[in-house]
Amino acid sequence: MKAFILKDGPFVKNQVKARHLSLYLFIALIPLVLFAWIKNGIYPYLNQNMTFQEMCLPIILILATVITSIITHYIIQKIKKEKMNLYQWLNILNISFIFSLLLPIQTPLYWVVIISFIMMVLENCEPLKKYINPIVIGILLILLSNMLFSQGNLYYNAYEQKQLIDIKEQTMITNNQLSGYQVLVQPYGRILDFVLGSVPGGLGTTCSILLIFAFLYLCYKKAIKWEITITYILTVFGMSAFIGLFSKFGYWYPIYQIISGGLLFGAVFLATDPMSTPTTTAGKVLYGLCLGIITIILRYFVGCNESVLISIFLMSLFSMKLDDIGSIARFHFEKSIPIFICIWICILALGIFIGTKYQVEQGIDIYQKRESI
Amino acid sequence: MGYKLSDLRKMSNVTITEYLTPKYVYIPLASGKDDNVTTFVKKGDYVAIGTVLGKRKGINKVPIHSSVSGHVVGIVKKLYVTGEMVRCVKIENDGKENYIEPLTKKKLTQYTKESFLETILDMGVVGLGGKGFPTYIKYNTDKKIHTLIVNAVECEPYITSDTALMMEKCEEILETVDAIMEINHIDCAMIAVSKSNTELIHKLNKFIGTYLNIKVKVVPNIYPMGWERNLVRELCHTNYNDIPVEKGIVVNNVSTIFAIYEALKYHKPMIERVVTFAGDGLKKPCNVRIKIGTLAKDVIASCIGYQSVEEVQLVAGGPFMGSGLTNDNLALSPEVNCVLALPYEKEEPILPCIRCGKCATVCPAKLNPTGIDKAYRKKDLKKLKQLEVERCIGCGLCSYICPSNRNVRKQIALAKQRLREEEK
Repeated sequence: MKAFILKDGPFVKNQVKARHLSLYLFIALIPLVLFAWIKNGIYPYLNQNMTFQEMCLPIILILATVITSIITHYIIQKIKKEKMNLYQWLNILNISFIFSLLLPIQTPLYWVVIISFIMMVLENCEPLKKYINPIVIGILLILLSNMLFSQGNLYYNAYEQKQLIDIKEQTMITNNQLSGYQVLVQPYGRILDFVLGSVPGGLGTTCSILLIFAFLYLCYKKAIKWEITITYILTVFGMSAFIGLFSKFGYWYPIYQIISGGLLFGAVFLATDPMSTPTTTAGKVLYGLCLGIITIILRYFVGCNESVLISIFLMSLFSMKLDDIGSIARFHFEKSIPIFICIWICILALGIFIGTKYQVEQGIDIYQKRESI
Repeated sequence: MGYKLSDLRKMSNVTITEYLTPKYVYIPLASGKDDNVTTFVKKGDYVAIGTVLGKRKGINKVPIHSSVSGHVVGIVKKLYVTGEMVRCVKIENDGKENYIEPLTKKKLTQYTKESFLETILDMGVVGLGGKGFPTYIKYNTDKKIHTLIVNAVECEPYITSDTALMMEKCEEILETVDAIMEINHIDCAMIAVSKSNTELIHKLNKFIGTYLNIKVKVVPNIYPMGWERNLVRELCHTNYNDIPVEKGIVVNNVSTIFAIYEALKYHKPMIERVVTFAGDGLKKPCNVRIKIGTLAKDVIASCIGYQSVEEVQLVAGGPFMGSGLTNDNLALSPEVNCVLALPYEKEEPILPCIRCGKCATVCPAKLNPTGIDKAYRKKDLKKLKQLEVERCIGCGLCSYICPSNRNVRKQIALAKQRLREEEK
């Protein structure tokens, strides 16, 4: 006699599970983790610009984050009396990797441990997770602590500190985004250096080419809310192209705005955090557009270095609201048209306003200055 | 909108086997969820093929015919397509195949619109796509019908009954479509075929030459392309509220067209249909022509057989929208287009929603399941209404795609039910 098992339909299931999505993200992060160590440790060490301890620093920071996160999460699960599954393990690894890749190299180790702990506590607060991204909160806390208790630019590794000290004396390194090539790009090399990642920044956030590959891989595996990344990047690109056009900068300008300031990393790994972002297509597009606008406002009006993190933090507070708009837009697209029109007008107006009203900081050609010296 | 199901296997064998001599038939006195049927026979009565056993009450007054000749054994309860037990007329088949009226051949085009409607009502023709909606209602309109869509897109994976019927009875089906167009003054007809069904496209192109107003339309190979609303949107670029006839469009699937053919040509009641028996739990999956009321158990035992697996999931219908069955004593009614036997696989644990948004992306009704779930948990009925939960067709794609293994469809069904209860 055959046994008939009764269960609810559907009777077929997609083979891609949550653990697979986490695994794809983990795979996408591995090259960036390696890059973080090579750029901030191995390469300068091989060029004899670093001590052995300095070479190990990036991997120590990453490991400290991972170990603290895992232990904290394990303890929380024990308290909650819940079982850990493979998805959760991979998710914790991914969160700690993303967090550590954003860290400034000079962050004190004890801060990394303390804030990793806080981040994991936030990660386990179910209601909060829909409104905030724990990684963004963690990094903002790190930056706040650095601002309060440290001096100097913590993003420079030992090698960059030695290299850039001369340049700093000769040229202006400025927060004013309306500056020329000599001020924005030349102190760090060429645009290609930004593409390859050999410029100062978070541990693993600078290599644009690796980030583009990671994004393409995640899109191929359907493991990312790609609409957010694309609209975010295109908004920043479009607005800075406008600004560049009015300020008579070259084609490099909008490209620079995308590949600098951790925007690509933020757009690929932070802005697409599933929990704190909208689920509907219109919601995702609106989210990406608003992220772009806030980033530009913070960059040009406030001169803020962490424009990407702050805009993601602010927008995640409104993700549920955007989902509501997105849900209605699915049936009555005409109702969402005014919102889109307002946003596009805002983008255009801001671009023209910044491009025409603000003074351009021309900077000094450091090579000319070096020659004159 | 929909989803390409590349990883689900289709049965390649589209030939039709016959099983028309069951010892007993159990003819359900129900139609879909409506079991409000007046019974005209009692234990011991002799019935011929075509004897009216019962009639649905109300607007859907379609008669239920006997599919065999013999004596009524009694009214018993048997498993129905919905997974519930319903009243059935049990008839012992005498094998004599006595018809209540001898079958006579008629000309398909001799009908007026009124006699056409009368015939398909009297012959009990209902939609054979799974819902059992009375066909005469679709044509009974004062509005001008300008388009007839013949749905040859199998609504779910594994099901091949329409393809098999179309391959075997292509000429008859085209002839019927032409006749329906002439009787109802319909301007054009479209036969919708899935892009992946190349064999059928080839066959249709071979026969369609002489029918100038019938077009073969190839539609994307996505699920649920066979859903009436999707098909109308894809082929006619329009939307409707309740039924497509509002926009002058009628949609019938291949099996229904063939049932109309038999009703018009031979005055034959709807007593047979082709059912797909598929799934890895069966030895010889195939399409079988059966008498309405035959038990699935008898068909499987006589011409299909189970694989030697310990545990089987039996489904009446397709893998997405079908109902789970507790046993194989299923009375095959006009609504059953497929019986699926799948080896039971242990289910993965259900995880909390990760808000990946895949359910919203694939939903053909454009719903936002995560929002609906949230509103349902908060008992926010205003929000549920705003999110138009009523639009859910229960296709199950959201549950299929969910990486957290959540039965999203069930949650939406509960939300829909809650809203309906509140509105009452």
